[in-house]
Amino acid sequence: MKRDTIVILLLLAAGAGWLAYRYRSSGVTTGLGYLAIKSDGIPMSVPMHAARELKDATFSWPRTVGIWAAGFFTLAIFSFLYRDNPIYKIAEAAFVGISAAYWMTVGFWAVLVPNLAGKLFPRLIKFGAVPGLDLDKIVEDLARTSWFGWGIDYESANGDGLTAAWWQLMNLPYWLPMILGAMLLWRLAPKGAWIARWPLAFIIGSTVGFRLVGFLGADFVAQIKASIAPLYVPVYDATSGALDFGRTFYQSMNNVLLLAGSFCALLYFFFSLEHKGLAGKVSRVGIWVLMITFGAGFGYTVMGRIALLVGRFEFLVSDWLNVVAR
Amino acid sequence: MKRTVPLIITFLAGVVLIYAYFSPAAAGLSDLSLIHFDILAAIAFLLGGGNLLRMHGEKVYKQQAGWGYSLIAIVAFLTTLGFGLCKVGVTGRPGYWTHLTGAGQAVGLVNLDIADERHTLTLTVRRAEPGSTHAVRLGQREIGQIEVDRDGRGDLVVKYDPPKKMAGEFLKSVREGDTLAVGALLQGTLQRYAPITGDYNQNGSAFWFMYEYGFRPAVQTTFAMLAFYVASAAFRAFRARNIESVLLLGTAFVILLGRTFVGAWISQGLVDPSQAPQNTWEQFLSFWYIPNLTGWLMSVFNTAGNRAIMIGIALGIAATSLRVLLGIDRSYLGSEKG
Amino acid sequence: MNPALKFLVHLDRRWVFLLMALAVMIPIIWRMEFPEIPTPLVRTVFDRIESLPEGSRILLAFDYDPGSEPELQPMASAWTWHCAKKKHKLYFLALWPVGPQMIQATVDSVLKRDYPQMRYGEDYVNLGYKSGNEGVIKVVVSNLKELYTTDHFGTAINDIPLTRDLVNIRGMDLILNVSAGYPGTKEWIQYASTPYNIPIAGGCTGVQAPLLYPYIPNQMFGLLGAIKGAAEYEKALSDQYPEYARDAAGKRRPEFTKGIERMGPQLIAHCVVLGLIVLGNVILALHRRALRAA
Repeated sequence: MKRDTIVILLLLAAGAGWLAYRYRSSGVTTGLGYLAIKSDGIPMSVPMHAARELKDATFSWPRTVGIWAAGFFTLAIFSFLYRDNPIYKIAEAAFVGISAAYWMTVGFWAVLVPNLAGKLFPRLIKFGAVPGLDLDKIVEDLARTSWFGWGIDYESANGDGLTAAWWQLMNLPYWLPMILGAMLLWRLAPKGAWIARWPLAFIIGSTVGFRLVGFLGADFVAQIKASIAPLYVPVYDATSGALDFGRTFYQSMNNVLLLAGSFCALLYFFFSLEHKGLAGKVSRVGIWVLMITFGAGFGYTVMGRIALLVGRFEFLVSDWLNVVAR
Repeated sequence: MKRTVPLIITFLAGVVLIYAYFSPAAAGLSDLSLIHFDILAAIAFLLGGGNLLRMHGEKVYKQQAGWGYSLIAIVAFLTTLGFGLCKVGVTGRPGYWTHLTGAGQAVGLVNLDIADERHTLTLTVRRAEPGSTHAVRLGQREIGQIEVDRDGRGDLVVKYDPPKKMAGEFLKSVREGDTLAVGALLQGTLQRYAPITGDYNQNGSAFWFMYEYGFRPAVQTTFAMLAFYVASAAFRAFRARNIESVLLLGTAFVILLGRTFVGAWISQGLVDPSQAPQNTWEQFLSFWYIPNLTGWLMSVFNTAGNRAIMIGIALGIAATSLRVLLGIDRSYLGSEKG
Repeated sequence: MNPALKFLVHLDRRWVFLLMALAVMIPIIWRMEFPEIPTPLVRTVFDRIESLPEGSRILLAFDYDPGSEPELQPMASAWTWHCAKKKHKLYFLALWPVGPQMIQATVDSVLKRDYPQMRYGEDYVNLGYKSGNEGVIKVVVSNLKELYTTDHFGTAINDIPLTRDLVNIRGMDLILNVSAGYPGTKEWIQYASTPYNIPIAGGCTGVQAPLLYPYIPNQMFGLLGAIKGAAEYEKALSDQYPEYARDAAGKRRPEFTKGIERMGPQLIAHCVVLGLIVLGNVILALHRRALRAA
């Protein structure tokens, strides 16, 4: 066995020994998840020693195994920091499988069932999965707004979804995403990959359509408008009415720097003009502005990443090992 | 054909949305197009799952290097998917329901929905004799009358809502197996909603377990690892070699200090945080108070730099969008083959 | 070359990892905490929610997942508590698939705990998740019910009092968006706030925060940036409403002060990172000098 494997096993054994000693001496448990049913019916997981005060708490094997599985996943993924190893790879593989299935399940129940199947086969979905669907309203809306009213007699249903025929409940335009969706799934087939191009084209076309306007409106016009600010901003003292030199200078300086900084940074990105002479000097200032921007970005990124690490360590020391009470 | 039709679809899909922005008359078509887009986005999740199965399945089948991990991925995927799609361990929507049937052509439906302490019983009768009135009985208790209109339709709603002192308290005692009868016309036996009607990520369900004890710790730990890499990068890569790097590191210094208590503590002598500066000198000193300096850097230089980047990106997006819409850029169609 | 310098020049990065781990773990175990002072951006958001009349309609868009939960959940909880305290009407929705879990966790830990009198459907509603990223925003600003035919639990949208008369979100008094990336605050600003002048405040991760500053104040009136923003908001809340952070017996309520608690390890870790940057540059200078001397 390698030396570092022995060291790790010894550390784990020492940790387990300390936890056993702690249980013997003070009764504090480690990672035993009880199920406690609150009065409003919300189940929650609590550690064993805290559950003793809750009269409705019962021991839960699944939640206990779950907390240990979560601890295993956490340490397994952290082990990659030491070196790549099979434990990490197992955790990573399981994570990949669970996350893909999670996204599929959410997409199915949150969107495909109510928004696709519920539009094409609403009676089936109402009595099968979503009892809240209002069939009467579906029939009324179709009678009022459907583009196919010239060919399909929605009126005869008389707003009665319970006894309407299946074709009076079907929202026909929703066959388009059904067909396009089936074509999209053809991408998995070994042949005929071109079939998936049609739905992809629809997705791409829609994306460029709304992004073109959205970006120009919010990120171009609005940003230019925000840059056009007065370069002299007089601020008057609230009590005496006299000009407050400090605040006036501060506000005015900020607007000047904002406008100048934006302009210089923009000029840096203007590669059609050679960055020589005055243009070169201005774009150099632009680089400096961008460096301050990236420095700020780095500082905030460090902040963001550390917060996530804090959260994970809190799970280890509080939820799993109960070293620190929540 | 294989490449022309997609180009036309791209153009039409994009133009509809752009036109709808300027013309409210096209709002209905635009909304429908966007909903179809949203549905296709959900179907893309199925594509992702299918792709995972194909890739890892191929690896397992051909016993390529690392096929054991692929098998784990597939097992985890299928298990979670099965739990989620079948809603294993989910309790159904709170309440009861049943179809109402009888000898004639009349039909009915009753739903008793329970939300917190509120109970709402909704009775729907169709194709009954026009103009008739029927007593509605829940077990032995008569709970109301239903009047059928000239179209043969009748509806009855009974509610129980404790704070509002509504009638209908008897709804609390309804149980599975209780019968509901509409005169001698229709009758049915109340049954609980099936588990498939419940919330797919209900606390305590099998799918929730996979999320809470598998997905959540794994994704949080994966992101938490980045903190270590940031520290390592700070030590190994961030060198103050020239003006630009000094500006970058200096700004990072100020931000990292100013966004914690350290910055306030170091520069506490410059300002009294409990009151605003009283004169120009105090205003000058308060500028150098590190939290204030941080805010100034963010709202002036950071804003200026990001504004320039944002404007540049917006122009780039506009140019790319037009190229894609007009068919000049066809890279999304893939290669000429297939 | 000096052996210590040689060791530092070729330092295995795992020592840096260990230092970082200790820098975060020790403050957690010792429960180190430091004072917080709300900054103007955070104060602006707080004051806006305070000043809205009772019963205002607030859209809470929770666009984050467990990966950003430690950073964003404190602000999501603080906002929800504050809006409930002011008796506003809350509309929850999510653009991320895991968003509904975040919404439910917030509802369970905040509304059902401190505001059990709030009634689902009358005081708050969970519309759930829909796929399509900014496509969802484009629909809900025009015709919400065409996409959200039911709420997250399958109840018909017209059967819910809060959404019965809701055509789209243009009538919302405020959008509070907790965002971990794409889709998130930027998309809400681009497709809802800017075109339709709906007031929006964002709560975002540290990575995103600098990128959103250009939108302030014209397109977004306030921003809670990273865990610091959450901590400042918690401080502002607990100053105004002491029952937020402490129970009737005066004991701290840790589930509502997570932001403040997490700033302790944050501070130590920041100092460590700064120290590493300085150390790295010092080592570089010494190494260059040693090489020149050699």
